[in-house]
Amino acid sequence: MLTLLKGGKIVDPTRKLSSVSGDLFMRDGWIVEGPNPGERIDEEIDITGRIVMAGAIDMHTHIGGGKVNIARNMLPEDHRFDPVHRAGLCRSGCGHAAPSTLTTGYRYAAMGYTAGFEPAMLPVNARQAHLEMGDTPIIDKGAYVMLGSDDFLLRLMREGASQERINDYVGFTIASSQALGLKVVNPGGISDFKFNRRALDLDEAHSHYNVTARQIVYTLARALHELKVPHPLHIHASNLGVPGNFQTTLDTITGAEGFPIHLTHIQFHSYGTEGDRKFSSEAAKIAEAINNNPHVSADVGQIMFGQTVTCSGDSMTQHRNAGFGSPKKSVIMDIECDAGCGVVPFKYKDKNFVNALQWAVGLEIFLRVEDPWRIFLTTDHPNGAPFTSYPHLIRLLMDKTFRNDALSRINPDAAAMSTLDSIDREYTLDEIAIMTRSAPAKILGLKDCGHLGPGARADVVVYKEDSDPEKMFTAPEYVFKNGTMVAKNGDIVAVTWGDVHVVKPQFDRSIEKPLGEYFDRHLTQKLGNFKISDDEIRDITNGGGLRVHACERDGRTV
Amino acid sequence: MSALILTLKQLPLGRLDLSPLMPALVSGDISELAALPLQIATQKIPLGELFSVSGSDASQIVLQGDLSRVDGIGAAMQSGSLNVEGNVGAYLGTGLLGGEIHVQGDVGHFAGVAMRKGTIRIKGNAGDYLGGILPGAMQGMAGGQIIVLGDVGERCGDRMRRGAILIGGKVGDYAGSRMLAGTIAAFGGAGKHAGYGMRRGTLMIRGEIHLDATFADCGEHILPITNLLFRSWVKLGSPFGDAAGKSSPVHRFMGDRGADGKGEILLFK
Repeated sequence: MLTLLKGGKIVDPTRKLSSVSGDLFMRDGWIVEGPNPGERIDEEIDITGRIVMAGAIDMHTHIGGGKVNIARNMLPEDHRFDPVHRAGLCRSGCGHAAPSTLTTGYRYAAMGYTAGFEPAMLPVNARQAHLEMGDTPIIDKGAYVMLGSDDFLLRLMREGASQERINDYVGFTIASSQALGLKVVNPGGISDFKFNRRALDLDEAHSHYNVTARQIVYTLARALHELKVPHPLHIHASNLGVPGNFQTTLDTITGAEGFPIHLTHIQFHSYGTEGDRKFSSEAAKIAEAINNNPHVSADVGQIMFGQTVTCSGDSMTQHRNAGFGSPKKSVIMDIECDAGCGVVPFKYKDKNFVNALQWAVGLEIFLRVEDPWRIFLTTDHPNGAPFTSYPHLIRLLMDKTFRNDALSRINPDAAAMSTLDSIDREYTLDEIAIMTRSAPAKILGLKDCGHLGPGARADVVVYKEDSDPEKMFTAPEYVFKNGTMVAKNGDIVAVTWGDVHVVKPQFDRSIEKPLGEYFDRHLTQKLGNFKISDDEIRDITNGGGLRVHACERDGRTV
Repeated sequence: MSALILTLKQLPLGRLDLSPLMPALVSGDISELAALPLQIATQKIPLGELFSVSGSDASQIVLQGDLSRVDGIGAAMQSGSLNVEGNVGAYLGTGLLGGEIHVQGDVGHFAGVAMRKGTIRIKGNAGDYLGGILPGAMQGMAGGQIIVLGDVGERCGDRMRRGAILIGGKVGDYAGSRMLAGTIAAFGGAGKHAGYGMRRGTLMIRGEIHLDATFADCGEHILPITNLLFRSWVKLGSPFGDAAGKSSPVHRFMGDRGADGKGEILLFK
């Protein structure tokens, strides 16, 4: 089946197309150059004057895994005011901060997102995470598996195991949990929390394994580089949310010693200790560091005011924040010595000094990082805000007047501490397309996503241009997923099932011998059951496919 | 202006959720009421197909017909009065913020849950979780008054935080369970495990009661506050006014000592 989207204005930064009028052909789920000689066009949709982009990619969104389920269970009062009834093709569910799997898929698709990546999948919990993601309709999924506070790695490092051995373990973990990348959360800190440590700095040694966070970051960043996994180490740095943590963040950048890294929800890691309240914005320093280090990328983790729920693997931080929970409840737990989990509901208030400054810090980072290819639009859903606030965030970035209006309404002390009003930058449509499409696809190594060139998956979004970007990005006119029209003006018109994106790095299988013994001795399942096969993934994705991306990477940049 | 009268014409199979009605009347135009989509089972049906609408004064609403399968009547109501001439389903007056609801018949489970203010008067009986808590929330009823002439089901006032529930008949098992504060008075006795897990608050019971071992007998007292309370209930008529004027002692029990233990059960005559 050949579909023609006629006369749209194509915005495709990957191919350096900026609102270029042209036709787009889709055949059987793929974008093609044009019809073969004599081929008939089955369907023609006139989109003259509309903006056409590839499907958006959310490269950091908590949509699966145990902690999200805890968050779902924990907040009936939040779901109650956003009930999702069965309607048309869509099944019922729950909404707002931690929507059910089905609602997550529908809402992402209706907003023009065609892929979302779960950033914190615990190896031992990977099957559950894949099952949940498999139950998330329409969008493509994938996950970064979490290491860095797990007993086996820390033992290896304590024993002084070779980098090759650690690479094998990392490769094994990525391959057997069917992940797309690797994440480290509060390196070593989640583990040290269980040894009664309540804060762990980058250069402090773990009280049991005698390994520092810096060593963990370096070792894992190097492992991914040597395994040629496209996505660099996804780092949730130490000291999240602690005033003065910008220094830890800067040290983490140098700690990687030139190996590519991705700093996630960097907004939470950019705080200083200036001012009367010993809490200030160091966004400028962080942005400068990102600008000066081409091997570093970051997603922002912008906060938005209102009720949400924070769910993180960082049980150390979540334990510290549990008292601020609103409503006052929390879950802090250990997951089989693999890592931790902390869920704390949270209400960000615009009149609260700290929250208001967090909001400004995030926007400052967005606007001060010059290269949109290395900064990503996220709210760390649902930690900073639910993903449904993205259109509002896009407007804040694209419209200075709107942004300054919002700034004038937040806590005045926080507004005074921020330099946001002095920044004139307004994101262009091209830059938004880069940070939500082209750049995530590039940094994740998804060659057939995030652009509209021939050979790409036909994930296409057609927007009606509007002077209000929030309106424009809330409900695109058409959304195509793998060539099927799935949403029209914000309504779901077809429910399809997206693919699972994975990488399969090469490693020495002999690591399975010591691992097998370790599993038998210490863990609750056998190594054979731990591994998730390709067939199993295909079984649980409701008909979506498994897309394996090549492990290849350019050289070290520094 | 005449009262807004909604008469149920016919109800397809399944339960109808009428909770969008009150918010729609506050924010919207009464002329658009017939188009208000209501969820019944798996489908959405405009209000006009289910109810015939007459009158225009949204501050006095009358609901007619067999409403025993209609849930969420008067939910989030802010002011005015709502009269129901018959039995109603579950979740009557959920999250009530003000005004008065009168029900001539019986009400289902979860009536007055999470209400904040206002009054609910029920001529018949009420189901479980009257003035209780919505699933998963931290607090139940947090203000206002519920007056029931008949009997009440189990878990009445579950996690109640403030306000008063007056019951002419018998209150079921687990009355005032996990209560945080507030007052529940039953004039026809209580079931088993009254005050189970209550932290603070007052249960006043006349008639038969089975007390758990976690309640401590504090003896008989003449408490001025009870006399003031009884006198304030005279205007509610029988049986609520019956105890007024007698300075007879109340028998006080403190508990639940399995929880905070600052609650009290007062037995009166």
